[in-house]
Amino acid sequence: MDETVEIKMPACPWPVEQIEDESFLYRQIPVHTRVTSRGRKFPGEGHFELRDGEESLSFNWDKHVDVAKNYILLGLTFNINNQYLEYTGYKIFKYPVNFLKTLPKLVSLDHTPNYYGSPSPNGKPNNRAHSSLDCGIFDDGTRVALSDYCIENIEESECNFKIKAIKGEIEELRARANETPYHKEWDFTE
Amino acid sequence: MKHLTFDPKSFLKTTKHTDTQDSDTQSKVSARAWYDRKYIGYEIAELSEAKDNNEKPPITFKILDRQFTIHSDLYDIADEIRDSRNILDLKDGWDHSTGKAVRPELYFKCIDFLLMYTNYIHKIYNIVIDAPEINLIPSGSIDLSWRTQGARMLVNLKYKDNEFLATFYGYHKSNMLPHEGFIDILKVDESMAVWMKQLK
Repeated sequence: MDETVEIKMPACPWPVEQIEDESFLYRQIPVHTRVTSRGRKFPGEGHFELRDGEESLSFNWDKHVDVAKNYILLGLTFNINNQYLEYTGYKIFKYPVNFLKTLPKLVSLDHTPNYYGSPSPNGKPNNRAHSSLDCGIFDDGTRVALSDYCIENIEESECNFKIKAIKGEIEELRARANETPYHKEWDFTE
Repeated sequence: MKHLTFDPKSFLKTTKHTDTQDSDTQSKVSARAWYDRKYIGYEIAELSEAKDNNEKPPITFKILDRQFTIHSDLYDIADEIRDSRNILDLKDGWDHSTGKAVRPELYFKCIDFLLMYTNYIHKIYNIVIDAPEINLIPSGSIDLSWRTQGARMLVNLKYKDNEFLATFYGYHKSNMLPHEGFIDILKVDESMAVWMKQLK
């Protein structure tokens, strides 16, 4: 008897779109908590390193999300311990696509929506805005460029947002587990 | 040769780093901590007389069982190294994600590498380069990151395939030409040392 179980990914309802050069991509960056008596630049080059199993860096396209939805997505996502991420421990930075496309080691920049079903599992919301930046191994020069863009253009790149304003909304969505628009087809008209 | 808005001799002629000279720059200097990164990175040519007469004792400290002795001119490097020692305390998952702990051997290779170049440039060229940030990153490797007026540089030291490796990327701000590749962590590459003189 063939015991191989074929796992079928649900068909994504969203088309893959061409990311326009004039648009922006958001990158969520965790604020590290290492105790230090000396100043650290943020975000550092280490925030742009590929982790085990990753082949690209994740961004969210501003055509489908705003800063608030970025934080909500974080707040509905589980960490490696199956607990909700501490979304207040993140800062969001905004990159012009025009800049990302000038990275010397750029391989591709694609719209890659994440769809895990309707509803998707609790802790794993769908993400219509998900986009992937592939720069090979993200070598030292690429990490420097991504870090320095934020620091040298802090006025434009840093997304200042009052997270407290959506705390109640995130709590309400968490209480609904995976019965939220984020776990379905992203229809926010309800 | 002076590159900054204050006279670095003030460090050498006085007994406390917080002392400043009587000049127009005194108020600016005293308003900041003496170890402010903005004031680090200067060329100490023409100061040999002052050094001879006012040599400060070297800076010594221990990290685990390793004793470090660092020339007093390199106090900013010493300060960053002391500050980096808590990298050794970080466990797997230190970034609340998949961040790996550092191998202690890698940490000490990194410190030895940093001191090898800073000591060499100080001794041979009489230049004190700026202190880099010493950062553990999620793969368990270590970044040395310089952002100075003269140059930008990132050195990444890692343990891979049973050996310690270092890669680097940088450019001088005068020409912005990228410079990248592998770097030997065991002995000084003279051309790299010359390039690194701009890290001030």
